[in-house]
Amino acid sequence: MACSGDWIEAEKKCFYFSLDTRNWSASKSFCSSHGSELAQIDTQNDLEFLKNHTGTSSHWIGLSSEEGNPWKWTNGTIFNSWFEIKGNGSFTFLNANGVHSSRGFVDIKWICSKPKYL
Amino acid sequence: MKFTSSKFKISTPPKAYMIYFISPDSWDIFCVFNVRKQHLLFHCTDKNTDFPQKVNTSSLTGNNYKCSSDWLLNQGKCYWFSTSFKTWKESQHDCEKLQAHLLVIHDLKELIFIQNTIKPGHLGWIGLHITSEGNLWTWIDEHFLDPQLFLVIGPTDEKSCAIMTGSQVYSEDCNSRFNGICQKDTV
Repeated sequence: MACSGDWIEAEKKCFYFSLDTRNWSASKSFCSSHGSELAQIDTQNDLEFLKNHTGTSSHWIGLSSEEGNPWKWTNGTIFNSWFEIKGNGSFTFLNANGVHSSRGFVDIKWICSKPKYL
Repeated sequence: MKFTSSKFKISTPPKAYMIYFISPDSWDIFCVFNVRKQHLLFHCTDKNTDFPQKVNTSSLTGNNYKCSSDWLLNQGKCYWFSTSFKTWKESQHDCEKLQAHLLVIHDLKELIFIQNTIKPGHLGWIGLHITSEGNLWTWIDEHFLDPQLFLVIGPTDEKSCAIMTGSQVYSEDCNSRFNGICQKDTV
């Protein structure tokens, strides 16, 4: 089964790139109400694919951390720090420049991800 | 437009003249001729439509507003949107190297122009931060933020600096890395 409608196929996942802008938690709610999660990035290929697609616009991804706790994906998995997160915030976003962190309030675009085969 | 009759009323001292025209199709038009700085300013108002028309107002001569390439010109100021992600202080430093400073906004017109320029998914540091005295949002020119202009979303602790998107202004940790928006006067 390929990815449907507005979703873009990449290896084992389907990605949705928003046109609209929202804060981190509203973006997270959007993805979960569409049977997906804020983008989870598992491979170098995924990361490169997403960076190429976002260009200079910033997009929320599903990596966050509560004060003093490790970075976690929205499904609770602990992030093993295989890529660098720049900045001092608790919510992450991505663009061609890399992965950065923010306080989560800013209205930017977002990316949802879901497995290709369900 | 041809006028059938006109009445002149001259005020003393003779600096402003008001002229009342009645046109053939019975439009009433009031014009105020104002003599100021060697220019004649004509302000005419059509009484029927209440639509003020400026007729032949003095032109802005001798103002060739210019910005260096890559800078955006608006209302006598130049703007540059950086593409590198840096802390608030580093972004301010980058602007200074270009004889500019982080964006300072004091009027709504300029705010609307900047926000219309920022595309969705883009954001930039502006010259607004929390200073140690009183936890108030303060511009780098030392003016306090006018809450009538906009409100900043997020915390107001000492390490907070302001960032702007196409729709709002937010508080971020000054040591986080974002693009910056530089501003300077035209040359």
